[in-house]
Amino acid sequence: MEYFIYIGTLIAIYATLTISLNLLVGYTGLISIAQAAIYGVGAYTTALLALHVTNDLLISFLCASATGVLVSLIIALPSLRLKNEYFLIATMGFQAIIFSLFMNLEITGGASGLYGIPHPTLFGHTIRTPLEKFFVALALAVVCYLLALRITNAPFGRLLRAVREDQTAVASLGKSVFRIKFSVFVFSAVFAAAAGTIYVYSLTAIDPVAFALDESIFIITLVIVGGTGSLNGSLLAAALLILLPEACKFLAIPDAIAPQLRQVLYGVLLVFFTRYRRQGLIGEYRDVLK
Amino acid sequence: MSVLAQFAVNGIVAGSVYALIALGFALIFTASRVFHFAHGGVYTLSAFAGYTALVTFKLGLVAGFLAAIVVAAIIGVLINILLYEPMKAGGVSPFVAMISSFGVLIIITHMTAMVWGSNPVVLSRGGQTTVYRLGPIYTTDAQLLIIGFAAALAIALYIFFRHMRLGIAIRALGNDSELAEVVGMPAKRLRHISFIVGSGLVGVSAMLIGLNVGIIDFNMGNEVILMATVAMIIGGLGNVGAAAGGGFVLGMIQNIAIWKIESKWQMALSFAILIVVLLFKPNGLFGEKRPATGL
Amino acid sequence: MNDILLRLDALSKSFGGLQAVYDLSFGVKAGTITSLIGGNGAGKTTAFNLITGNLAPDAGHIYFRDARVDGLPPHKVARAGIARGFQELRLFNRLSARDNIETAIPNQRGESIIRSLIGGSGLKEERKATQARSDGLLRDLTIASQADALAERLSYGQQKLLSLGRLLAAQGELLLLDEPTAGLSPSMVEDFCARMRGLTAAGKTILLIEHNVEIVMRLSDWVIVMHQGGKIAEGKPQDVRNDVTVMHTYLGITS
Repeated sequence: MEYFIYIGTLIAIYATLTISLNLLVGYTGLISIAQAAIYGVGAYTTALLALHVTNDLLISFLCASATGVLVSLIIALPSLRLKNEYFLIATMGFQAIIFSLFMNLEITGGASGLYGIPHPTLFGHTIRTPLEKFFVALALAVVCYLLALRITNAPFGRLLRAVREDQTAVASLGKSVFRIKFSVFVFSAVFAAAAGTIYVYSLTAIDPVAFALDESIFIITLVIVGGTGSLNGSLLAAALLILLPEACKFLAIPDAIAPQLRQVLYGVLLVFFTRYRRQGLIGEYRDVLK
Repeated sequence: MSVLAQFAVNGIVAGSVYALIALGFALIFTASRVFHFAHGGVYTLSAFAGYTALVTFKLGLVAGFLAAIVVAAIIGVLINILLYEPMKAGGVSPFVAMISSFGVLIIITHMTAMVWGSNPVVLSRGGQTTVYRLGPIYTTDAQLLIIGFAAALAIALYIFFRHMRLGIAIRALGNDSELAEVVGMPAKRLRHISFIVGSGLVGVSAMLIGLNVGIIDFNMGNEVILMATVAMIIGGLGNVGAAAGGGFVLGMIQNIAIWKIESKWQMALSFAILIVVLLFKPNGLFGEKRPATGL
Repeated sequence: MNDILLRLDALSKSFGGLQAVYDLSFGVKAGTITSLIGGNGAGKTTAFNLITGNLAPDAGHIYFRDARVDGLPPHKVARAGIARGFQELRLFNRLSARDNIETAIPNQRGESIIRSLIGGSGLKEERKATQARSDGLLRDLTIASQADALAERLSYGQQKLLSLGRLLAAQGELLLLDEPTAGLSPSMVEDFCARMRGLTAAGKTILLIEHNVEIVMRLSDWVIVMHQGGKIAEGKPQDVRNDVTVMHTYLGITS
């Protein structure tokens, strides 16, 4: 039973991460591979807060999101001016720098990370069991999904799609493309960082390796497989790509190669979808990745 | 002072290492306009191929190098044939090809780990490493070989791109593939050749560097390709020589920076430089005019 | 109402070695239809791009309602009141016709991410108003039946109407139109002329790039002739037509 709760929590976390990145990638076509760094920033903020100041859940979410937003500002302001490939490489640079901070600063525990993080409290009640934590994770995913749905259905969503079609035309209508991209970038950072909070409280420890470049690429893979611009696709992809390798566990694959095989699987999916089915599983929009 | 001199020499060696990788990477970029991140995977795989020939089957140094070069060249051109070319033919942009390249990098890297294990292995040709001493500076034969090879390669490629028909054709290809086709050069074949040569070169580099460091592991390509990207951008795109220059500068900066900051910050420093260059001098230090900005 | 709405002052722009626009100066009077004509490569579209801020001038200034607009980014120029149409239309292809128009309507609070998250009843009112406006425009442009069709599905003529609709929705005081009648049937061209006159009657100012000499003569209050980046003549349509220089360079090239 605990196993299923654990898987459920993972799926909820990745659903949140994927949806948040999908808004950025799927609607504005900006592919950022710094998402894991922002996820990590949220996680470390929560951990340090919980270890030294408070482990209140709401405050943790707030502070994590705030730091996430701050970091995303630092990344977005210089990078948004750059064209596609160069934007991606700039985000790669920020990802590497932030990861380096995770690995090398004393305060973040260096390569060993942090551990012994206390359980979160909410209005006096301590959230201790995996099941309770799963519900928190689920709640975050649901909120993220609903808010993403809300903004894509609003005039803002229409504007996003217009930016996806033709930025020059949008600017010629008096709307600032920079402001639009920027807003989405920050929104995606809020949720990526909040996902970090869940990560920390679920595991009560941080291993910096969880926030490396590989992780960013995994999240992008989820976005592409699910379908850029499709929120439901993101949910589907998160569920599938977490469940699939777990299902393979029942295939008696030796422990030594199982993690490698899983990575190979993700790589294959990424190549397959970018090569043969750029609209992902249920997306309808092939040309966001233009 | 002698410490600084040693750092400088280390910088030259590291710079040569980066230049070697960046040269192949840039050659491929010039021809296809794709950031071929899978190049890092080819690097890793070729090192292990060399390892298999040299250490596992004890076939000797030459066999080791040959294995590395051949495997690299074949895998490299296969990636182009099976992935980039069809994408290009389908009108897909190099940007998407870049993303698929990440996927290939992951596949190759982790399949290497599956076959050879995730632990580092020793790559050595047996026998002693000869250490040379020039005053206060130490260097090994492997290191001198790296520097020498990098220099020779840089010169060879310079001549190739400036004065040889094939090289000029490849340069033209990078600038305007359609134009090149119209003029009658078989663009696809030129790109295949670029991949074969660029990848083969990385095979040599992998062996040289692997032998120098003494150990290889499945992650080596990941780190190296990131540095090659930084080198290429710092140096300037569209110009193989610029990429080598960028690699050299990067190596020097990393090693001289050790004088003042701890080595664990090297990566962060390198990427910080990357970002600064992207923002303020997108054409790189030595590159041609190709703006990276534009909303 | 005959003051100068738009004024170009010694504008220059070169690309690499090519001088696209050189020392270009002219004024566009409010409430008029001015045509910008000239052969290919004369620099007309470059002039448009300079006006809208898509390109930055190497030298010179641009004044809109006596305020300088050169150096402003495109969206700010548009906000100042200059609505620009593109030769290649640049419609939002995979958005519906209605969405294309509604995207153009300025000052929508629902277009701010924060507002759309918070929601509120004000937004519902706004959406109703937006829809009413787009309904009206679509009807006006006779493409109401295509309101929910994707822009890429419309016929070329309908797409041109839609692109005009977008400009109108943007409520700019000055409309810059780039070859608006290209590819249109004679009856649509008539329709276009009628609309243009209707717009100026309503107080709008129009600057057109146009190759169709007949339209230029019929519609324009003023004509500016460009050649190789510079202005070689300007004046009332009849005067320009009779100008010897023009006949040799421009009319000679096209006819």
